[in-house]
Amino acid sequence: MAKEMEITKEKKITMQQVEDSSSNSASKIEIKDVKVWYDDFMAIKGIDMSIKPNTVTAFIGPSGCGKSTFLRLFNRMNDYVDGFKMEGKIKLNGKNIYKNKVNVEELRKQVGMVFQKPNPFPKSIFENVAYGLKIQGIKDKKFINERVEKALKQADLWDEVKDNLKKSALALSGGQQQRLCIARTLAVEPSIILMDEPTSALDPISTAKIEDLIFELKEKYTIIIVTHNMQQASRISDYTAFFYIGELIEFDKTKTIFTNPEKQQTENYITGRFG
Amino acid sequence: MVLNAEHQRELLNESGLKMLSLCISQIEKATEAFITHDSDLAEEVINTETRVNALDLKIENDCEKFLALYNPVAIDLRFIMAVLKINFDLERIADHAYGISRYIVDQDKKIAPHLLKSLEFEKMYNTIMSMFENITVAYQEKDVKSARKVFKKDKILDKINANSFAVIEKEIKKDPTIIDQTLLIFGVIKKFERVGDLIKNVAEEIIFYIDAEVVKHKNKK
Repeated sequence: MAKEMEITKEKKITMQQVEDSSSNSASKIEIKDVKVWYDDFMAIKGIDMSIKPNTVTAFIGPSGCGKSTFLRLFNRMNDYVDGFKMEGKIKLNGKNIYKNKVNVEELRKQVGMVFQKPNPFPKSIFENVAYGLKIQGIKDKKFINERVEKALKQADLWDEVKDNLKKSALALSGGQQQRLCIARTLAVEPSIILMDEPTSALDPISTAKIEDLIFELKEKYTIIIVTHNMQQASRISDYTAFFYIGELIEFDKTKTIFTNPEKQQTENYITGRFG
Repeated sequence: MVLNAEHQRELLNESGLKMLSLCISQIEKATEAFITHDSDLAEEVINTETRVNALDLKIENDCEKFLALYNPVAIDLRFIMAVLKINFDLERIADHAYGISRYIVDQDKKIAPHLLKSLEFEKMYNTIMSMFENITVAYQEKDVKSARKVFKKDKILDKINANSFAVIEKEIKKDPTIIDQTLLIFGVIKKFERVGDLIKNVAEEIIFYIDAEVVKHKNKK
């Protein structure tokens, strides 16, 4: 992640379109006819979708269906992948994030990401959470302290680490590390949180904590989660999108998808009959 | 769905069908015992009730296990929900067969043929059997059309039941000595009417399972 942030610093064009990145009000996302290629391979074949603010949307589908590629479009994580090419529009609160003048660093303040495997920096717990603020150039210690505490509280980690903030983040358990990564994301007060299989490496207790957290965070953020766990998708999301070979097969309320999906392909997938 | 879950689902489907056949047989035998005044046959129905109860518990238990172990969704979830509810309705149907049989064992009264005729008893029974046939086809072949046929037929039962009071009143006025027989047959007619309602519930659950359509509490043609 550090490497990626360094790369983004090369783009110095100020982005006024994605303004007020620290306002942390949940954002609406509109996707219009998005197509993605990796060289000659078409990974996303023209997707339209609208994601409402303050909702949890789950992306499901078999491996290689394009759901992670699609998720990574929202904070332009695919920009540096060899052979990546994209067409279409992705609008965040009405502003196209793929316009040439968009400052990707600013965009990523607004669109945070949590990965499959917890990836804390080899620094203290405090430094991990404060990292995003510091690279933004914020030096006010009181402000940073307050933000770190708030983020750790939001991530439901504060009580467990408040007396050991100087301890190495690497000494935390896997579940704690993942909540730390969520706190690190929350510290810069994004409006959207992307999660790419955030609990696939965690035990059931840690998974339940992250799921509870997602439910609570929905009040303030728009959350999109990629998951291979059908029960997780049905437990925590408001909307579910089913992808198959680069296409969006069905996108509906989660309760509809898991009780009476419209498409046979969706039913076959969620009932474990293919995929 | 994984192979094992598919297998368990099939076993549950078979148990549901077995319960349906058993309950149909219970109603058939109870009615025959009632008409022919055959207390041995009535005893058989009463004894078979324990088999019905055991199968009821087995199905309930298997549904619980299926829900806990395989986390069914969509059509699989509707299937389990339908089997659970159908099982409950069938067990109630069997209870009515048991109740009719108890009348025969507990009360030594033969029903006069003219009374059975004026109360359209045979028509009522045949309608129930025809409804049973419809839900059996619907269940086995996932045939929603067959399930829908029972709604109209249930109205026939309702009508006979609604008329029965006036018919009985008339018959008693003609011959007050038949009062004990009329009370008995009135009880059976009430049970038949209730069996019709329960078969209708089963049809509704089959439709829900196959088409995800909730037809419960809706006007049906």
